[in-house]
Amino acid sequence: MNNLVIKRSQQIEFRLTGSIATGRRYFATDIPNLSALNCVVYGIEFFSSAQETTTPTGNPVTGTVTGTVVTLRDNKKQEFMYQVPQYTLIRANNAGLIVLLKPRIINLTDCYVQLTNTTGITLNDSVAANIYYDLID
Amino acid sequence: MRLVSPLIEYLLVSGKMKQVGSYEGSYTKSVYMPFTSTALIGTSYYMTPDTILNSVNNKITAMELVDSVTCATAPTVPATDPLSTGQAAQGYFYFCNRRREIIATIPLYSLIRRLNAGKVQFFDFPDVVVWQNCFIQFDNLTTAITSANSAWLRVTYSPVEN
Repeated sequence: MNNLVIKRSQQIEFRLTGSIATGRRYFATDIPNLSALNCVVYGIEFFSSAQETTTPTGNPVTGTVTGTVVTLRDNKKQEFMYQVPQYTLIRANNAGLIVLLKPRIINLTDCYVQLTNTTGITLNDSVAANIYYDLID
Repeated sequence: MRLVSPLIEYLLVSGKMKQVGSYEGSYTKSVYMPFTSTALIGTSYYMTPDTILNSVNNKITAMELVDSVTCATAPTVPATDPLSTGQAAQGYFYFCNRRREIIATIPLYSLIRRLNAGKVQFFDFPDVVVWQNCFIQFDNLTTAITSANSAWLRVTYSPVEN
């Protein structure tokens, strides 16, 4: 059994702005130093509010993780990870194993989360995650 | 005979993946960061300079946050209480290089080994990490962190082969 080794990591967040609705896409907020399609992501981990109360940008983390699905898109707009439950991507729910991906260049601001259930979700809260990546030289 | 897929082979060889329960590193030590006063939101609490961990001759390979369930009291003078899970959930550990650039941001909670089914977090940073440039920052302090607390980190490291 193998587990991920961190080379570089970046906290990302999907802020639930506008209105709260099922099916609506909430995109990842921009990280300027990762916005030039210059990072190859090889792992991802999501967090619950028990693990992370507030994101580094000061937004509260959503109180529930069972009503959210995650989609990641690469630099060719391909949804290579489509509607994966957020719960599945939480390390503590997988015996401490971080989800590994086939390394891909992602377009961070094209990645999004969707709500399948709005119970317990508050407007302007954030869905928090960490991406594990390598920079392209 | 052992069959290994090209993808797994790539992740192992490039150091992006490692076998669970495998060799963590050559040496391990505990470092403590007592809070001299009540912690504040947004303040960067830098690590105390450490001759071993600061050295370019050593590479950090794994790290664990020891919480108050793992060990109730930290062996600091005077004795302090390690962070609880509720306190750890409010902060992040930032690994920085020589130019003080942030290489990795890790929630403190996810460094607690017992909550990850005993799996320690492995690292293989491409840059030299300077321990005294690394810091902890809190973005919420609903559960206060006082001078009775300390952050207890168990750091595993290996000599760099020159």
